[in-house]
Amino acid sequence: MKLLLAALLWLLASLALAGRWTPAEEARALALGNDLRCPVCAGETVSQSTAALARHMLGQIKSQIRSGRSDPQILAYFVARYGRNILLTPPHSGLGLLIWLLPAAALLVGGGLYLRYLRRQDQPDGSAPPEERLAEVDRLIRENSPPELGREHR
Amino acid sequence: MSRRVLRWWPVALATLIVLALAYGLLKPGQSPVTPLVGQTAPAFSLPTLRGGKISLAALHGRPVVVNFWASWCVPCQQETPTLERFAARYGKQAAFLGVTFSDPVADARRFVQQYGISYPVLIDHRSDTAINYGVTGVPETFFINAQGVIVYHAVGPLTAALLRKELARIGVAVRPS
Repeated sequence: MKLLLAALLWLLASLALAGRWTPAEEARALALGNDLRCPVCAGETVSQSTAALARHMLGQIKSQIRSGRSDPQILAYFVARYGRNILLTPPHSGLGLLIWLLPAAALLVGGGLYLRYLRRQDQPDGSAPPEERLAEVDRLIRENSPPELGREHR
Repeated sequence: MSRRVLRWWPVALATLIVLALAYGLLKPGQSPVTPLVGQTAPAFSLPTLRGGKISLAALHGRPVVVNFWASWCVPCQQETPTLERFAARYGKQAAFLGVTFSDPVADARRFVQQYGISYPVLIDHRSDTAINYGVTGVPETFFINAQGVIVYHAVGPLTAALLRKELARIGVAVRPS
């Protein structure tokens, strides 16, 4: 009788625990939910949103984790239904790759152009006025200055 | 390439980027097209409001119209009389199904009574079917042909003209109005 009672208790306890999510499962579900845009919210992820649909989506993620699906498989499931827009970060392939590379390319090109500009500023480029021209400008200033200024000049 | 052309290319590039961004911001909004169009409709087996269960597999070989709705949704209230009229007229050629979306059963039942809905209404408790169909809100309607392929996904309230057009596309012999 005692043995039967113990077996029954063990069965009940395992059934109760089976419905619970482990901290690891919970963390993985939340991380995946943070990669997905909530389709009925403005600028919120599935994990952040309190909308009923987002809660159900999180539930789906957990169910799929339990059934042994990998992270890419779970994300692919949502992409197949909602399109690529459901992903919060663009994919690292195709057009999505361009979005990742473009800022780096812009930084390199911009940096290069700025360096070139700085080098040019440092180098004498031959456009500086020669001595004779400076002397001529000086003479013209003296000639065209009012008398009192001219005296000061002299 | 001459130096003058080279000097202007950053300006040209910046202009191009600004124009592309402006186009992206100002172009008219497009209704989202589900990637499921052209694909086999996801299977479901759900309880109905009247008791019993209906599965999509059991309807294979018939065109099916799956309408996701909720009693709290105003556009659903607008489209339901039209959908009911078409279901009454073409219910022998195609299966019309309503699927509740984030709606308490009691509210859904009241709605069914109020609008005299004759077609089966299925209860999608945890929105599993809605998520499987990529539903983002209500009303959304899927037109599935006899081969089980989604032919059209309507976002927003249905109109008589749209119903006539899409029912014809899934193989229903639509009579002129």
